[in-house]
Amino acid sequence: MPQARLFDTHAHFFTSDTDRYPIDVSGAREGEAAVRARIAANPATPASLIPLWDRLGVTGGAAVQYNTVYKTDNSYALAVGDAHPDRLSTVLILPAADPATPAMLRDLAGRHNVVGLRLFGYPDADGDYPWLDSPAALDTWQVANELGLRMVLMYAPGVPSAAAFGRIIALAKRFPSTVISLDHCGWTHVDRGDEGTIGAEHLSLLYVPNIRFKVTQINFNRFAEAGIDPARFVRRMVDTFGIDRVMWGSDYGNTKNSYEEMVEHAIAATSLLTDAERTKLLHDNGRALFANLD
Amino acid sequence: MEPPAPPVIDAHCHVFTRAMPFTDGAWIRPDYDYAVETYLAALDGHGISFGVVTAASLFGDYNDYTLEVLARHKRLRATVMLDLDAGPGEMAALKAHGVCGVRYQLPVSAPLPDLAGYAFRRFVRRLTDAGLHIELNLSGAQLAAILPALDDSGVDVVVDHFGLLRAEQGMAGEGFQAVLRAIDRGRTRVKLSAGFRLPEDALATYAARLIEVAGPERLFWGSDAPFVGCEDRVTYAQTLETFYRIVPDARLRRRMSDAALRFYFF
Repeated sequence: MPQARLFDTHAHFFTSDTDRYPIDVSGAREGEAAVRARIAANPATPASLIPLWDRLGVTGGAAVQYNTVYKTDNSYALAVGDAHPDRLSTVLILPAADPATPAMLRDLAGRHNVVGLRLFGYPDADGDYPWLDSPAALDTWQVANELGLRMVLMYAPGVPSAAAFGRIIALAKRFPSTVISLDHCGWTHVDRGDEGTIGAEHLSLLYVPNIRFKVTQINFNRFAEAGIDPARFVRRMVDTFGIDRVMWGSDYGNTKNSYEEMVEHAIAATSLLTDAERTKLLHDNGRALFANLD
Repeated sequence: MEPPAPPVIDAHCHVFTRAMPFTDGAWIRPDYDYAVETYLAALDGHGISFGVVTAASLFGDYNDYTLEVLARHKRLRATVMLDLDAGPGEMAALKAHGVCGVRYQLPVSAPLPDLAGYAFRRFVRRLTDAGLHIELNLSGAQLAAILPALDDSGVDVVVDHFGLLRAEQGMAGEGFQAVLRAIDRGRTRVKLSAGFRLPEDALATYAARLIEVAGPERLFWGSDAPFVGCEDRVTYAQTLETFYRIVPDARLRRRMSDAALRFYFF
């Protein structure tokens, strides 16, 4: 296994200290009782993760607001980023179309160590994603653009959507200086072998350079179920989109693999890359986007 | 035995460098730097995540270093000193920068401004509009005069140093009594800070009385680092030990600490 430095663009944090940081676990897919038990027994905090980072060669990462536990109360993700600015910056979740969000975003980004805004949502009855770029949401995009924040997008369910990508491409062209990062690579096909992972939907993103891809443990776990070789997928992503557009994130705090295992899988998935490519994908690309460096 | 859990936030410190200008009337002129890096190392050394930089009277409204520090360190918040004529644009910009309030302090012998007059009322109204609090470092007589005048303004008030630093007659004095009444009306918090400047034996009684009236949610602990004027007889660790001694109930300390985190950060 090659040695590698890493930067984790996708870590979720939550604490068992629910008095200080109140939780809202309503609607959790694993069940509210289960997620409460997980929070109490196995919190994901900088105190537990940073020592692992030191041991495993992870220089830093993004504290991505965890919808399952906190919804849009970003206090804990902000506290984590504020308290550990040498290792972490915060990616918020706010409701893009809420009229209060642009001012809230400006306020939080001004006073805290914020590096990005994440939007999450489901399709409407027609399978479309108007929440991405509704007129009200565009006000939020405008503020994020002005503040130089990264936009991080995740849509449900976990299959590639031409409807979502169409809107994302339009947004990327409207805000060409804003980097848009797609969680879990924006979902790939998992039912067509590794040749079929990147379908026509993804190819529409080819010539939109400010759209980037986070490859995460969620991708690897889905590939494992489908018998897809993650190393061949990563090689294919790099060959398709170029080495500068792909980066790694663990999904720590959400995906249940141990952190050591996630790092091991990440490094293994880069086995078909050159050393220079590996460094970019595992570390440099993510750090350039998600570390709030002075 | 486990050591006590430290508070998550220190609600009162000062940072400065020798390059900063002293006001003409500065009561002391420290001949050393207490740079933000030194302060943050003290926080880290004691397991404290967040801090509040408080405007020191020594430098008047030279808030420049504080603002620079806020831009670099998001784990800090601050209060500044402002002229009564400060406009809403300036206040809004300060708020966006991480400033939480304005420290209002006068020499003990100085007269208060006309509290019913336009200039003062406009100042307080603008603080309220900007979401800034007013932090009072005043004598007992001054507190007794100003607290009722702030009552109908809607501004949040934080009283420094137990409300007792410059109060004659201690808890029986008019200043402390005014603080208790203001707490009762709901918008006033008090810092348990700079205990080393007060009679050591009385601190626990002061704290108990304040907890009785304010409850832990409206009391904030602060170190007052670097203990200007008392540098050689106080350490950061001792200020924490004092806190643990005068508020022995860890649950109360915890609620104070969390309330301060909410007040200054979220």
